[in-house]
Amino acid sequence: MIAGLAGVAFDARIATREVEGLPGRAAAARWIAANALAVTGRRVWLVGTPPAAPRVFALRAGCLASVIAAIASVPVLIDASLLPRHWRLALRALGLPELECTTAEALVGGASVLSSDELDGSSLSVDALPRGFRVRLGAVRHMLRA
Amino acid sequence: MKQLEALDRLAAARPDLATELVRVEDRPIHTFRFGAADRTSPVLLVVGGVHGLERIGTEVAIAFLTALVTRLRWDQVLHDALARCRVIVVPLLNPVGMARGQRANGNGVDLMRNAPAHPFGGTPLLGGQRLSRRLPWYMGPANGPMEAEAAALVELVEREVIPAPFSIALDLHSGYGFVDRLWYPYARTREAPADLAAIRALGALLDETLPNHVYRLEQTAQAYTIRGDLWDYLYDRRISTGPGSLLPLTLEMGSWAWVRKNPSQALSSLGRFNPLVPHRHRRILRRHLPLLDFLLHATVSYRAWLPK
Repeated sequence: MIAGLAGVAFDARIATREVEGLPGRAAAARWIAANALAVTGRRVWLVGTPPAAPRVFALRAGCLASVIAAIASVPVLIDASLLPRHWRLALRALGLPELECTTAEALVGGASVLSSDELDGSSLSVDALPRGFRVRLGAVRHMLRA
Repeated sequence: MKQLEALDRLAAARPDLATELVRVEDRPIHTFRFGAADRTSPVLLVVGGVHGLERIGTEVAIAFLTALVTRLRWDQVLHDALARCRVIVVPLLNPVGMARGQRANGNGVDLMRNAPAHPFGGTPLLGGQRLSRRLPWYMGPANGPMEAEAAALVELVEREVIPAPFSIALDLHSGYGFVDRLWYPYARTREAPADLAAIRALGALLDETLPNHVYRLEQTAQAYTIRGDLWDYLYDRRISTGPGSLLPLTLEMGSWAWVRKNPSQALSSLGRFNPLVPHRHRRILRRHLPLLDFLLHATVSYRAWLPK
C-alpha cells in the first residue's frame, strides 16, 4: 500500500503541474484523492448531486481518510489551514492541491472550496463504512458535528 | 515475417471468415468473424499485436484462431456456442510495427496510448509521452487524429461490439512481470470501474472453473497509470451508450520469467517480450487456450453469472 501511495504521489506531481486554473486544480485534487483511496481498497459513494456552480462546502469528517473521501467525491480545493497540522502534512505529501487564495477568489475563479467553517448552506458529511465511505451532500442545518 | 504470412494464408483459406479491417503501408489488418449474424448476441473480441515487439500475443491469437477454424469442421459443441454468440479476432493490429521489429506503429506512435487523453493520469514516460516519437510510449501529437490502426479498432468496436448486450474483449500483450496478469480498467486511474462487480464475478467464475489457472486479476493502473489507453476510451464509450456491459481485459504475459530462465535473451529486443526457447514458446501457445475457451463460454452464458 505504501508503494501504491508513493505511486499516487508521483503521478500527483505530474497531474497538478499540467493543469491550469482553479477548476483544473480542484479536478486534479479529486483525481488524486480518489486514487489514494483506491490504493487503500476503499470506495466512495456520493449521496446527492453536486451543484453546478462553485460553492463552499462545510466539512464534517472524523479522520484524515474521511477528509480524503470528501475531496474524492467532488472537485474542491480544501482550505487546509483549518485542518490539524499532521493532516495538512499528509495531504501535502500526497501532492493534493490546496486552496492558495481566498475563498472568495476561488469561487470567482470557478472552484468550490472545502472548509471546516460553515460559510455557506452546503456541507459534505462523511460516514465510514466497512468497505469505504458514504459522502452526503446536504444543508448545514441537517448536519451533526463529528 | 511468419506471423503476417500465417495470417495471409489463413485469410486466403477462409475468405468466408476473414475481412480486411484496414490496410496500413500496404499491410493488411485481418479480422476474422465467427458465429451468429445477430447483432444483439454477445461478443468475444480477441486482439493481438498492438505492440509490434510483442509477437507472442499475435501467435497466441493465431493459435486460438487455428483451433476455432479446425474445430468448425467437426465440433458440434462449438457450432452450438457460435449460434448464440459472435467471436471476432484481430490477431495483428500493428503489422507495420511487427514487420519493423518495433513497439510503435509506422509513425512511431504507441497505439495503446493513442486514444483521446483524459486530463489526468499517466506515469511519466511509460504512461505516455509527447516529447518525441523516437522515444517509446509516444502518444502522438496533442489533438491530432488517432492513428489508422487505433481508429480502425475503435470503429470495429463501435460498430460490432458496443451494440451487443454483453461483450468481453481480450487484448494480448507481454513484457511486464513474472506472472500472467489479467488487467481490467482503468489504466488512467485507480478508481473502480462501473463494472467492477461483473469483473469480480468473472474472476470468481474463473477461479471456480479453472482452479489451477495461472492468472492474477488486477486493475491496469495498479502497476502504473497510462494516458490515452485505448481500452479506457472504448470502455467509457460503452458506458455512455446505456445498458449493457463491455469487459475489456488485457492479458499481460509475464515475460520476465522467460528472461529469468534464459538470461541471454535480455540482450535482444524481441527476447525481452517473447519466449525464444522452442519448448517454452510451444508451452505459451497452449497455456492460454483454456482461458480463451473459458471466455468464449462465459460470453455465451453471461446471463448465468453476470450480477444483475
